[in-house]
Amino acid sequence: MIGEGDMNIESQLVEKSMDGDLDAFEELVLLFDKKVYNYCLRMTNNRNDAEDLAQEVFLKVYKNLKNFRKDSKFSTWIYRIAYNTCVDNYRKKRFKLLPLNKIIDEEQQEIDIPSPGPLPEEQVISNEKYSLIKECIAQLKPRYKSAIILRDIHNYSYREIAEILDVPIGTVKSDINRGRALLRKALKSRLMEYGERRVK
Amino acid sequence: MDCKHFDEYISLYLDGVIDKENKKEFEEHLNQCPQCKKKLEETQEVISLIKSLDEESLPQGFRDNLIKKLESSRKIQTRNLLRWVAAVAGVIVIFLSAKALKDIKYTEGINDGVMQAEEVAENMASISDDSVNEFAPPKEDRATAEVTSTDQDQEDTRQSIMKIQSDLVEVYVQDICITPQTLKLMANNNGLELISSDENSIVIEIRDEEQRIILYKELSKMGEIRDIGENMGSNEVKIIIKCESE
Repeated sequence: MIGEGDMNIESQLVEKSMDGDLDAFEELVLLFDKKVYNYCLRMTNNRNDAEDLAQEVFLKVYKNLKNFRKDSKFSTWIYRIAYNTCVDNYRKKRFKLLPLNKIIDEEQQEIDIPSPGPLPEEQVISNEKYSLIKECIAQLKPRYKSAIILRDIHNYSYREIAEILDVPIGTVKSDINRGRALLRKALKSRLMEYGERRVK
Repeated sequence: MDCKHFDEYISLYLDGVIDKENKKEFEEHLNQCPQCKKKLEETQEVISLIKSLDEESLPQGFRDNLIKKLESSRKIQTRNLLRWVAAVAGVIVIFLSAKALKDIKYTEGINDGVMQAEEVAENMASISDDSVNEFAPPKEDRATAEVTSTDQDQEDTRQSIMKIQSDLVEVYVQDICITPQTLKLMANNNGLELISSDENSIVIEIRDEEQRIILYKELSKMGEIRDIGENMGSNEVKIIIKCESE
């Protein structure tokens, strides 16, 4: 969580950046880049896409600084831009996305499951669960996954999420609940598939 | 609370944002329904799985690349601004040029106007001369009276001012726009019969003295008349257009 002092530094940097100070903006980037990158990573579950998207987010933020209204928090504004950037990307790539119940491809398995040395059974299942949940999140509808990422990874309140996504708080409540229910069902069925394949 | 409603409140309950009344009903259902209890536990597991996902570090070169992009973006923005300024300047130059051209044209227009006015004034002058000629014979009479004592040559000169005498007239014109076509039009407008024409002259028929006067008047508007024919009183008159430079 950002403390009082950080807020002051943040707002000073925002002020300077808005006056065209690129150095101040670069400092501002350092405050948010990891968070924005991780948000994009959970939205896409793809490191290359996340890198491109996060860079695009900061370029957009920089170009649109003059449009930032100080009545909202700068972080809220950045996350909204990040969300919109990911949604645009989702629309562009939608035809490439696989359905939620797709079978884990071999490549994904190789990347995410450590192969060297035998691991305890529990460890394997746990790693597999992390891999699966990342995949399942990425395959949710953008609004659902964004609400869940902001809530469970970035610890935002329902009200803050409503502000970021620019939707009523009631929508956030139902999106989070609906998203989690879908993840629960998907994870369950994926773990069952995984168990069956392991038995074979 | 039934299972359907229970589903709707799972997340609010787990996030601790459920209101008191619903919480009580929710917990009552939870204690009665093992399926819903399982659902709640599974959801809780999903949430803790998500929460335990590690924050990944930035890819190598992320910040350097971003700073490069930001700097080139600023350059582009500056360049675009310069281009924009240049474009605006260009538009202003074009606008001013157009305005200047328009002004020149306008001035030319004034000059045209002046020239037209001068022409009109000349015509007016010749008309008034004509009216003097036609309606103010006393002036001529006075002149005649003054020259009564002069010799025949002078009398002839005076007569030659009044009308075309011979069968051959040269008209020395300044305006290159006066062509045989102009003469034809003039002849037609004044009821003079056209006999023939070539590239710089026409031949017309003259039936009476009145037509000689009319012809004289009309030709005097076009230029300086030289009545040079040898055959006096011929009913055919050839009019040759001559440029003054010739």
